[in-house]
Amino acid sequence: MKLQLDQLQLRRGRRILSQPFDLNIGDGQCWGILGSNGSGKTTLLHTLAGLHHDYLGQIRLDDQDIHRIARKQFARQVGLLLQTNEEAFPGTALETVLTGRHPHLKAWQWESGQDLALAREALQQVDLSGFEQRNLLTLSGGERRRLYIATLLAQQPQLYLLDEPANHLDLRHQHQLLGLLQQLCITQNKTVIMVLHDPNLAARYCDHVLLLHEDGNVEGGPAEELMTAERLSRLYGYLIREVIDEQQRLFVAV
Amino acid sequence: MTRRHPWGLLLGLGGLCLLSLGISLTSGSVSLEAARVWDALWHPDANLASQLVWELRLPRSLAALTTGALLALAGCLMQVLVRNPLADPYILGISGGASVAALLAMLAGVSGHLLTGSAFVGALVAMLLVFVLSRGQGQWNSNRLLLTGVVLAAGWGAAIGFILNLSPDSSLQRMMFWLMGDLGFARASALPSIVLLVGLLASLLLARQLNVLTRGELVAGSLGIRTETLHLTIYVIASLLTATAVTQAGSIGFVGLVVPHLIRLLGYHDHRVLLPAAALLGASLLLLADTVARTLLAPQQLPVGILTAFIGVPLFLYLLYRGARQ
Repeated sequence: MKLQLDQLQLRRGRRILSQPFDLNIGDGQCWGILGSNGSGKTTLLHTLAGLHHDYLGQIRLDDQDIHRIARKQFARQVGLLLQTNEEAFPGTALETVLTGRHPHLKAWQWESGQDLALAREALQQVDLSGFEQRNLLTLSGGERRRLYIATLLAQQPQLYLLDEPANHLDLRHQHQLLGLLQQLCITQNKTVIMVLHDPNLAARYCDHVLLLHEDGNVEGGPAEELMTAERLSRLYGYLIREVIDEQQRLFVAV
Repeated sequence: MTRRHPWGLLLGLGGLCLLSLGISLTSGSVSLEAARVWDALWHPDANLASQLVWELRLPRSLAALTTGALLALAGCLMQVLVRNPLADPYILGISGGASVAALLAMLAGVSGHLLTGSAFVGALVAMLLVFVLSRGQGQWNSNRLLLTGVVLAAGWGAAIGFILNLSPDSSLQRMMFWLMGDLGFARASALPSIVLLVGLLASLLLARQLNVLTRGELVAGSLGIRTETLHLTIYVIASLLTATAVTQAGSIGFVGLVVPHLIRLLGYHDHRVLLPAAALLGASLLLLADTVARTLLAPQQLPVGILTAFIGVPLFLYLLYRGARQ
């Protein structure tokens, strides 16, 4: 898989959110998108997921404009975790996870035993085995969040787009989840692009970062290179200090 | 799709339909034993039982079954379309348009096929009006659709009140029956059943997409669904189902609102089960209600809409209470 952004300029209604920028993203890469509130992180993810037509420039997936790919075929390659979900008629955990199999099934087809097995495996990967028959309404915020991640896992895309996946998760589950996503990149050569609010999570789990500055400037590249205290301070408009011990480097707000 | 296999539910509800049909055919001002009804069904002749069954009770019962199924199905679809559990088939004012046209036709002294025809035209006008006005800037938006529909429904309500005020006393009772919903008007016609079957098949083909759509428009979009097309399709199917039901029997309340929830409260959220189950339950509920409506105070008949509420309210509350305890 190859994702190419050519002179992409993000827009939201009449508001222009970024300067035009180029970016090439390949298999096995794990990207973190960082930026302050309202800098266009979510808009970027939704644009990449083909949910916005309102942008300038071109987005190509394997040399094909994403809006020229049939929606269902596109959904087999690209999956999206939203920042928030609103269920109109919440069903059980298993029913929810199985919706992730939708793009793989024909209109009249029922989920097969294999789809069911994939759904159960996805639930187990996010620590929700045994929750199958629980109604969504009975789950806590963090459990629900993990359920939506399981739905995305069951979708089995090549490119994972995640909007603040660590939201609502406790410390252990945050690291379990990001470790899981990192493993998807390393062992299965999947691609992950995720919006994160914690630069330390990005520094630890992402090999590349995309910084969306408030002035519309966009910087993308290897995390090692781009993640400096000086640049992050500029990004967030707040003084950030880098602390290095023997194990890892940490960014701390002053 | 979950461990519970839905066939038991569908078979049970199908059995309930047959049971309701049996009760309806045997009861009335002349009560007939089951054996005589059975005999009359298979050997139509000129005696009273045969005439009662074939000319009065069977057509009316079949009309009740189809209307109930149409309303329950339309209710399911409308609830998904506007993402609101309070939605019913009439929420977007389709019945309002039909009622205004029907009342005007009655005022003009029209009856029979012309009356049903004008009700259907009224429903189509209401449906087009909501569609055109809710489009706005081209983007489909379920909130805008809901608000447009609700406001137009209120407008139709005012028009109905206006017509009722102008109408002579002699036609008022007939009008009230129509407004509250009444199967006495229903005439034998294959058309509603055809609409029901086509609507059911079409919505079953969309059923898995509906499952995804209840999870939100963006989720549906990211799972490969063209949400604009899907919304439009649901709207057209639900509106036609409603228009057919209203044309056949006026605005019978409660069935379309409550039946989908009854099935959900039983634990079935998958639309591939929910839609046919709701159609079957809606059919039997309305037939039972109609049977009570025409026998309870016989020879006086009650509008069936009163009975659907009398039966539906306690049933719904019981299931809600049971669900809360679990």
